[in-house]
Amino acid sequence: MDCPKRSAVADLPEDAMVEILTRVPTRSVYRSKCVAKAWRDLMEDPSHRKRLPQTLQGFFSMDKEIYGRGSGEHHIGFTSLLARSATLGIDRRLSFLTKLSGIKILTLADSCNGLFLFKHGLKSGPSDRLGYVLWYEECQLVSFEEGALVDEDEEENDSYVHDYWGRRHQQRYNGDDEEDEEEEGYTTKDVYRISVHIYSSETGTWTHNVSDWEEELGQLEEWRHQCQIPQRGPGCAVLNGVLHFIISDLDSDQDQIAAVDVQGATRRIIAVPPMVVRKRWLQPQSGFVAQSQGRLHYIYQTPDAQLSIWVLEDTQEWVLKHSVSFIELFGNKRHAYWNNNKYHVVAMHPDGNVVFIVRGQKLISYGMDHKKVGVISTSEDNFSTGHIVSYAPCFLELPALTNKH
Amino acid sequence: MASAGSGDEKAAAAAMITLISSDNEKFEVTEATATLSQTIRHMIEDGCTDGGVPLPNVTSKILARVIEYCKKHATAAAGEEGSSSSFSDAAFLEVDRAFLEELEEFDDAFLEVDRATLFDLILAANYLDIKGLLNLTCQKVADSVKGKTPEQIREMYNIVNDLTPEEEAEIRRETQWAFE
Repeated sequence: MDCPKRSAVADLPEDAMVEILTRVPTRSVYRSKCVAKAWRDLMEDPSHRKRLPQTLQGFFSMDKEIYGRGSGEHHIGFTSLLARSATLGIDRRLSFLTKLSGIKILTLADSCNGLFLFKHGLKSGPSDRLGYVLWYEECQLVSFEEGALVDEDEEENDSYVHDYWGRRHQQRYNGDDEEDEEEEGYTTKDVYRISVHIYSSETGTWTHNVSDWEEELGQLEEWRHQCQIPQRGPGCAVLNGVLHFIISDLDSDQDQIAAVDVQGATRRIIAVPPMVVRKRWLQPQSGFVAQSQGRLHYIYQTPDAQLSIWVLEDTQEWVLKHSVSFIELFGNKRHAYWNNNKYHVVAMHPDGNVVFIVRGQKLISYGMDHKKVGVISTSEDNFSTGHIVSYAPCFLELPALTNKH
Repeated sequence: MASAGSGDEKAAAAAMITLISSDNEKFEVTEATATLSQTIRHMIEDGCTDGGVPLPNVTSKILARVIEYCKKHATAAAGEEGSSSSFSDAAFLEVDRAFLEELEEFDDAFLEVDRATLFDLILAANYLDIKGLLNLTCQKVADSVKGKTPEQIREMYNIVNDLTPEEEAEIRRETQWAFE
């Protein structure tokens, strides 16, 4: 008979301890890490990581193009939130990406829940066909799809894709295409249209159900045609299997949050907090949407350098959770507007009241509870020019993963 | 599955299994009660329960409690099957509801034990693979840990902090977001 390893609590075997900890909220689990050595070791033991809750471990910073047209060095780096990086065991440079054969251009499209979505162009085949590589923790490829998203009939100039539950997709139609223009009734040069593509980790396939959507009238149909997804990826939030992302109304310059579930069956528009009125001419950045502690958060920077963090309560009402001024935080009173544009929120901690802000070369954390600012990293590269991608490992066993690689 | 569900439920329920605790006490239980334990279910399936099932990891005191739990929940499972198969009367739903409430009360009362017993029950539930009981007991401990500081947890469970001050500071730095 094997003798199970004993942990510190009253001689409970590790297995039972893990059983207990899986029933404790993430915040409490991580806090209890410093109870004793046995607790810490238990939580860091790779054999338990599939069962214990995972949380934010750091940030990848990437050039817009990971490799491609230019022959120069492209930067991928990882900034760990852990002091003891040895426990992470991840490929910080994503070196496996450069080993992919046949790819000419590779750019990061998005990431969510520990999965990364890359857009690629191939060396051979039709020029610049787009496809997607999903990246899973520890350098395993989930799937590698070629031309999966390009609709042959529509020339795609610009696309924006998303995440592992669902991805949003935006196409900009060329204004020269008069037929399209008339149909849509637009006289503007560029017409944006948003559709949602959903990736199922069960089957490893994408579905695109825009045809269903076109039949819907009113608000939903409106956003598809009159809104656009802000160019600077303001992140998305997956909550109970529903993907939330920011869309901005082209007419009113107002942010809205679109919510779509995995099947594409539930979809709705959530208005942003009523206090927040966005003035594009003053404030080019849109708000930021995030999931933290099981709730939807909306983070917004006002033109006068005020950062407000709202939380959507169960009653579907927005409650102002925290508000702080960048001037108060960073102490520069001059040129508030100018300074405000130097900061942007890149993430909120999925399990804690902490937001992460980039200011030039600095990645800064701000803990709302203590109103405490900390510099996580000062990169030699400018954080604000590339992508900052938060990373929480995903240790789920995806059927799609086992099928493909 | 054993022979249960064949329609001759009385016969299946009448099949008795003998469980033998670590201190050699024998407990006669119905198969329906015993098979809430996946471990015992597998033994029955493999036909190795003749002459009793020795459970060297479980004392008679704990085994008695475990059997008490299984008996109650086996009845509940049988009751559910009966009501869903042929009756959909409001009266029966009412009975169901009352029964579920009773079961909840039973569970609450069942958990009124000292800490050592609770841990022994977890060990037994883990070893015997009784999902409901494991869930119930682990949740009780989980609730006690939830929202507590490391100091409170140590005090509650008499745990000696064997981390060096440096190690503890390091963990706290990394998990600062988790502290209020």
